[in-house]
Amino acid sequence: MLDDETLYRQVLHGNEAALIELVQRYHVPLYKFLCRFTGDVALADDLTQETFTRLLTYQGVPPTHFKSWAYTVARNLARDYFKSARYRYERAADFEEQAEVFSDDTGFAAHDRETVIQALAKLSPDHREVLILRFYHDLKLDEIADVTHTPVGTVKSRLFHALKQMKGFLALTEVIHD
Amino acid sequence: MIEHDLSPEERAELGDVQPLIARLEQYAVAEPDTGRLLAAITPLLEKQRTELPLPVPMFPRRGVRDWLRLAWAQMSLLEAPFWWSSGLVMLIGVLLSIGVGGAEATLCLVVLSPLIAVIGVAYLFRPATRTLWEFEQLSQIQPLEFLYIRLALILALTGTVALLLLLVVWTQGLQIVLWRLLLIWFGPMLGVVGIALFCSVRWNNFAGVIAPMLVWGLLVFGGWREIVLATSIDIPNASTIIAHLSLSSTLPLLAAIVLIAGLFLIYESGRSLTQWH
Repeated sequence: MLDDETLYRQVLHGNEAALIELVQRYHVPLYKFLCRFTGDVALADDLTQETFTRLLTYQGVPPTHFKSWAYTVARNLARDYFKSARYRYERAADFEEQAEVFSDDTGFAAHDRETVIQALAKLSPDHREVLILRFYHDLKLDEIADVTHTPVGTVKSRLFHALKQMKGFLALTEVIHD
Repeated sequence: MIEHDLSPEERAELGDVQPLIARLEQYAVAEPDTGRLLAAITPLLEKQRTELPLPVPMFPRRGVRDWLRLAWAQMSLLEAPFWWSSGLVMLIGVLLSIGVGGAEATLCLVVLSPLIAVIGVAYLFRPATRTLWEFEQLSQIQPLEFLYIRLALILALTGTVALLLLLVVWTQGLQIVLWRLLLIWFGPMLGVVGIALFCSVRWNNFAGVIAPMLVWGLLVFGGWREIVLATSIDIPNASTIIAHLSLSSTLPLLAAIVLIAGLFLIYESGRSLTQWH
């Protein structure tokens, strides 16, 4: 089996079979990362497609570590979106919409899932991305450091604070729910 | 296991994280439609094959004129404050040389020029130029070419200032062994520039200033102490220090080792930059 870096170089040379293989390896993880990071399925879908478009039209030197680089592109696109005027405009409308969605009684498991989504949304993007990459995508700390362009020590500290805040949020929602 | 990434103190503060992990596992995401994505992006591959150039090699062939053009374009990053401070340092050196004597100017050159080089590196790799660098990724110039051309600019500038000062010293007729003094000047300069560049590229601008300054401070302090011990004079004057620097047989050797270490750090900075991109 070819490694990601070789496969990507072949994609940049226009190899369609390599593209299919690369998409099969990275579409699901990148999409799920963006879903959890943005909390919005439709947006995650758009951003995943944009990530692959960027990867495909890239003209510089191919990266030496493709996995971290692909997550970096996806993460930067999501963060750029959060900074955009469109996001600020849509957010105001979203609050009312979300309140309606979460008030629906759709069973215990669904309620638990929504609670986690809400708790993740309360984390800062810096903390949220570290927790998602480490917990759901099993990236090593040094890989997360590469993706986020921060030292490993900072990643460790963010992970600890993210877990601590999540624990606090979830404990609070349990008290309210009881 | 996520808890293995935490220190014992953090684990103790968090307590049992298993219930939290169980809750996080509840957040499953539905699988996306890979076929739809492939249908959307495959036409881009065809476009890539027919219209876009293949990735350019790390160091494409460039003539001297191209390199000079690139260097000239990068000169715009050095703004007025940098020119003012460099000019000021040179003026101090010249005034010292004319007013007090050649030894003081030479000592000023040996001690200050590595610091100008460090400040130059920090200035050229400051956050504003990093943002600019993201735009530069869109051009056909490779990140390594930008890195080395900026470094060459700083070394050329510092070298010119230092050589002009040496010329002034020369006219004063001070007796020094030139090649040794040049090695003692250039070795540590390249060493601290290597540290500054490595720290700026790998971490941040602050580390790129503080780390080489500390190293340089320790080197100057160590050199001073050695001269005091060797000459048995509590406060040696500039002429004594220059004579000692110029005649020492161990200092050029140490300077050569530092020079090699500096070159290695510059190479590592380039490697870490290409990995980062």
